[in-house]
Amino acid sequence: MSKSETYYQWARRKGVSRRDFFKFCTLMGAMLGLEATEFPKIVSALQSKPRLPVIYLNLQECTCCGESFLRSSHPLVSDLIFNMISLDYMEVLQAAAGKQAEEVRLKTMKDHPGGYILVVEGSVTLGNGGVFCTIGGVSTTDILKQTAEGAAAVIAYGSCATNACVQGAYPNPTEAVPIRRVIKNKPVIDVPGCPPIAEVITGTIVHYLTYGEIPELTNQGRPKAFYEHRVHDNCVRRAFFDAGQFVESFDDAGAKQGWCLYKMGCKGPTTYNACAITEWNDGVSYPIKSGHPCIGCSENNFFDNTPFYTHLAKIPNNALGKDVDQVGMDVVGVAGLAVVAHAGMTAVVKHGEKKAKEGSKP
Amino acid sequence: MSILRSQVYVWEFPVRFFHWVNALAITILFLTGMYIGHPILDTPGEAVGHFFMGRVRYWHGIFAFIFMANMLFRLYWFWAGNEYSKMRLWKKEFWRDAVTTFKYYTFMTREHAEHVGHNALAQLMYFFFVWLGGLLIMLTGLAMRGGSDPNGTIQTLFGWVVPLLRNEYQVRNLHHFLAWGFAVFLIGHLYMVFRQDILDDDGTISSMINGYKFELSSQNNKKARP
Ligand code: SF4
Repeated sequence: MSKSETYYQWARRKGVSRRDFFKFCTLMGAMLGLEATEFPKIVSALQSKPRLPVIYLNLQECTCCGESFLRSSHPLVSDLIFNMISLDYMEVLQAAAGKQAEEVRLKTMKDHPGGYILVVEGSVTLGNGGVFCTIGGVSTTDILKQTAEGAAAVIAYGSCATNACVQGAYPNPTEAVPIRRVIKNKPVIDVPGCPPIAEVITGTIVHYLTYGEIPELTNQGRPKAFYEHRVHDNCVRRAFFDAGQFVESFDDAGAKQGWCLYKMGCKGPTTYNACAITEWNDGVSYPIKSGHPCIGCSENNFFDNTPFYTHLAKIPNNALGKDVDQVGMDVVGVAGLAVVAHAGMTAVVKHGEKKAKEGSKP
Repeated sequence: MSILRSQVYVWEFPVRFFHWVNALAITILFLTGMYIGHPILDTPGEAVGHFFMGRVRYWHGIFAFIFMANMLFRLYWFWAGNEYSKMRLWKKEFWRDAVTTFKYYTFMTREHAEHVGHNALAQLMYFFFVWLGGLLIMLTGLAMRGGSDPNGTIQTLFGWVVPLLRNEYQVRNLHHFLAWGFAVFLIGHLYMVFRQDILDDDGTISSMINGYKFELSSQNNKKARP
């Protein structure tokens, strides 16, 4: 495989028909929310530009992102994703190991300075100089810094990379931090989720190839095409929410009817992700559709805002130990008592004053 | 013992109007908001026939915008209104008055300085609970509403609130917390109003309807009206 081979040439060599290649281009355009007039740009970019080398780092994580990635829905997409991210380096999948593997990474970095995309799965640790996660004796923080140096853009793939996920939850013993905290001088694209949707990576790469820049991001630094909507706003159960029909326990009649899971702890109302639109496993389903409340895995600190199966408004506040409405009611109670006490005091004092006045009168 | 009292026009119509619109809006916002947080009623039958939660959210939105417009109007009236409609936290007299009033309320002194308008402590309460709390509850509320229309004006203007508080869960939390501030405020407010009316017999309660309060006539000259 020559390095200057274009995506189109590569696809043809792999036996992809021209028709399927076009299908892929339109699919990508649609996923990125582009207008139909933009599709030819994608086609010409993929036909003329050489494949973008991608380095995929696995840092402090559980590889669920990688797993999700391997199971990306559309077979054509998954095939292309695989090869699109060119796998110059990905520990989980590469045949090479040890020194050999590291050499591949260093070679890609040397051959394509400023021309490769770095996908990072997992968080970096700052605690004790980053000793909590090392690869080949080097701390992941250093590996990340070194690899990001010559990258065109960094994709923080998965909640670990965007918000330190579970290991970053209180008390965060390893001082796990998101990629953004360490990489300051490169464009970082956050693709949160535990795991996130795989298509985002292909989408981002296609966008970068076509326009030479990273896609538009939301105010939270995530690709807008995928993360601009709340799960709740596109949820299949939304009609039941608006009607006021809620599942009260997992085996009640409402659950069988497919009612809204709000009271079962659904975080859909505060979660921005594409689950309800793109769905998982070839568009088969997503958690809420299958009857499980959303746990809000793509949101910062989601693991601190637990328990998962407690209604949103009843989740105890971490600092106060009670849910806010309970705290609010307590404060109102105290205020009520204070008013009663003050009123009583006023009555006593005024009564005393009156007596004193009457006493001094005659 | 007869005390001469004279009538003073304290609360101009816009101020009274603001007050009652605010009272109505806050009450409805609090009730609908709590319902959205804790939907206790169950709707039977098929979802197609109902839109209860949807309607509660709808009215929450309507009154939120009424509340905001009303507050903006009052902001303008701080500038356009009479002497009693102003809040001057930066003045020395304000803080001196805050101390005397505090002493009066904690029974350290018997009598308080006569106020036809608000005393400094009352104004501080308004400042913290209604203005500061109101501002934050508006920002958090707008940030949450904006999310439904990612390319809309509201999201463009107020989208920054979500990353500021790390995630929307916290935005929601703060929104609820502030709502309780209004409940606490209401208790204190009602108590102080009734207390004032009873102790000084100055028409505090009725003044919110007709605008007039009574004051000792000897005080009249001291506080010349603009
Ligand atoms: S199941 Fe969750 S996301 Fe879906 S409508 Fe109910 S609360 Fe919203």
